[in-house]
Amino acid sequence: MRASRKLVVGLAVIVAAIAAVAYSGIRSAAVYYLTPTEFAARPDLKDAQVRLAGRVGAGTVRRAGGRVVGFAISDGTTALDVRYDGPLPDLFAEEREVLVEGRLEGAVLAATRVMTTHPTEYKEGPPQR
Amino acid sequence: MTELGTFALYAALVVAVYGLAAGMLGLRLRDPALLEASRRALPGWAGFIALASGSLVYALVTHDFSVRFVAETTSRGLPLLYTITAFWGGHAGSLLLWALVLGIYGAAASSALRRLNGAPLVYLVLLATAGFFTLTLAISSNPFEALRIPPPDGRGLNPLLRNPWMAAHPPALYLGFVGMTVPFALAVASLIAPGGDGAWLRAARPWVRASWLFLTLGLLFGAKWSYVVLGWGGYWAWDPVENAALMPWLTSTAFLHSIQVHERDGTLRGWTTALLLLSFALSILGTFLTRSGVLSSVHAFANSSVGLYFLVFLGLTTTASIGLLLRSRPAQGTAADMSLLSREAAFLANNVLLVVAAAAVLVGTLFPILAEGVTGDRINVGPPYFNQVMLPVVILLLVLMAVGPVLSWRRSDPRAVGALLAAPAAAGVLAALGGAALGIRHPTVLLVGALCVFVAGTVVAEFARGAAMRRGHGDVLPVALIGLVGRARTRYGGYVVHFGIIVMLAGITASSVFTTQTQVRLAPGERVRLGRYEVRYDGARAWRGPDLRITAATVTAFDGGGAAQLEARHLSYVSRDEVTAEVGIRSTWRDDLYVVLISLSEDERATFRLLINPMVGWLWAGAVLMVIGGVIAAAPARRRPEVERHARADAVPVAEAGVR
Repeated sequence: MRASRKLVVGLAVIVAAIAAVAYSGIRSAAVYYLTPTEFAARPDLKDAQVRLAGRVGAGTVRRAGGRVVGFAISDGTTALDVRYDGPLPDLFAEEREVLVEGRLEGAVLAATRVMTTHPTEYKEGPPQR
Repeated sequence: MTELGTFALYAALVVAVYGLAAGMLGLRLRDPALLEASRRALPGWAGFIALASGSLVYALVTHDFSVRFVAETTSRGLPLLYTITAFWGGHAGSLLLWALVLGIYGAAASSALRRLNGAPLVYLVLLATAGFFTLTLAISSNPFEALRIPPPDGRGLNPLLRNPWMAAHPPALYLGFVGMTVPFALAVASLIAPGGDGAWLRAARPWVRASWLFLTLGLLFGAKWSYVVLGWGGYWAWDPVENAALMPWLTSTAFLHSIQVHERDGTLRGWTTALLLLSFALSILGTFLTRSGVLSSVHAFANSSVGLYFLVFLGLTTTASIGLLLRSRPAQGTAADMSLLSREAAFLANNVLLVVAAAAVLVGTLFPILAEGVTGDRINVGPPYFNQVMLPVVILLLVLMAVGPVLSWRRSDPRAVGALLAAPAAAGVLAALGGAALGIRHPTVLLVGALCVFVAGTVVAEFARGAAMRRGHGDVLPVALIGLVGRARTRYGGYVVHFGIIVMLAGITASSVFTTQTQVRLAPGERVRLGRYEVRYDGARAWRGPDLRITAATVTAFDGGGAAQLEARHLSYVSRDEVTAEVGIRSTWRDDLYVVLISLSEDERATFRLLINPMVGWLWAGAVLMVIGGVIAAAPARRRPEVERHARADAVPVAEAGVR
């Protein structure tokens, strides 16, 4: 009986520890998902990690030595400059919908990741992706 | 043909309702004829669903664009294989696939469980589930919905789905999800008609094994597809739809362990039953998450009636499950004399960890929905959250995998355990020291690596110990090994799965920590150096295929010894005006050279993204080992009669098991 109780206590401690890890994980990994217009209206998220959805503006892609170093995204109302020099997804191009993740630095979003969006209309979407 | 399809759906609905009514009445009146009618309704229902599926395949293959589904998911130029797999390339078709798979399982259950007392209750639950899916299909997602003006050609299949891995992924996944329905029905039956010592739970085991196997395959296919098509260099992104399949996999893995304790001494009955209910609920949740559109936004969900059907069904089954669990009498006590150093304790700890892992994945997956519901902000928790939570769980599970196999039931002699673990543990420590000597400074990698070797050590030692015992009887080694595995397939199949898991974890750890990449623009003939490879861009070419234009850039990779040619492609689909990529991959046991064509300019200059992903091949090899282990464990046992005898002895008369 004592051994079983020890086991229960031990497991409870482990569960609590993992829950604590999960809680801190959620706090640090939370990413706000917004459009540039919504983002502009939320000064409280100025320092938060955000993920913005928008279209890459035509003629806004800046290159240096053949590599893309920045571009602007827009949701039709608000445009925002993005600075980025990491790897780009295959389907990155002007006029394409992208997701940009990063933090605001001044008036420019310093992006850490750029993703092309998957079709969100589920009728067309891959069945299990 | 579309009329036939719609007719078949409604006929299936009628059969399901008839079977339900006959079964309920039969239980009340104790009328064997009615119960038999209810049992036969299952294959009858399955027959009509098969007829509907056949009609859909016919409509797809004959390009009947008067059917909305056919017009939206196929086109004339689509190759035959993808014209058929377009069956699950859209929403209504995937639901029909769900029903078809349930038909297969239901028909199988109606004959396999015939001799299990209380089976009529199981059939009732299956028929209720069947009825729900048929109703959803017939009313809100009829794949045979007609178009008033048929277009001359269809829109074509989503290009991302035109890949063999993606063609095979949904059926495998659905065979896994839906496979949880029979165990769920058995669990519900065991709760409604208490008194048996769990013949139902034992009967659930083969179905869970099959389901687990298909979920594993589904996860593997999905990861492979992600790796070769999406071109981001990874295979797992903690995407909600991936998590949807992982959660029932975790809980069914827990079941496959806890059932061993339950079968041995009858304890953990409530817990084991709960795992079945949970696995089913998570399977339905998985279907709901991927089908309802709730993930893109709560608002998208509000416009989708299918989501509502699923939510109601999920709510009903979950409430009923919890209610039944609470009502059932508590288990006849846990093993009071169970020691901390016993196999039971290891299994219990494994179960808690797996369920905690599933819960953590659930929280992370549903977090955006919950947050949007509460605060109105769409907040995502990305891979960092999942990686942070899963790491301690994986490490603890590895420890259990290493120690568990050498523990005895009830109580182990610490000294004997120590003796058995000494060599494998030493091997693990040596591996970590070796890694450190080779310059690996990453503590997590060293720890996981050491634990993987530790686990491998105990697994190999277990095989060696068993084989040595059999060789004592005069068998040569291969014969001894085969005999050993054949004698206790669950146990040794399980060890093969464990071995697969550590091979896979080694691959996951190496490839997620040590990836190197670069992005370059090259003219034909130019070279670039990345890690141990020198890559030369040879040139590009373009040609036409059915419904698509293919642009391919060829590169040659030199790794000191040999040279290998790879091709990275862009596929532009004419009918959809969309482009997808096909990654060029050269896979060795050491690493994968992963070449993505980013862009190609008029002067044949090409921009590539090159990655070296270490040990990704191990991941696939480990997954294949897991599948092999799963097959070994799932293959029908020869000693069936014993189980049935047991079942009959424990069974509760049908009348007592009746619906109250």
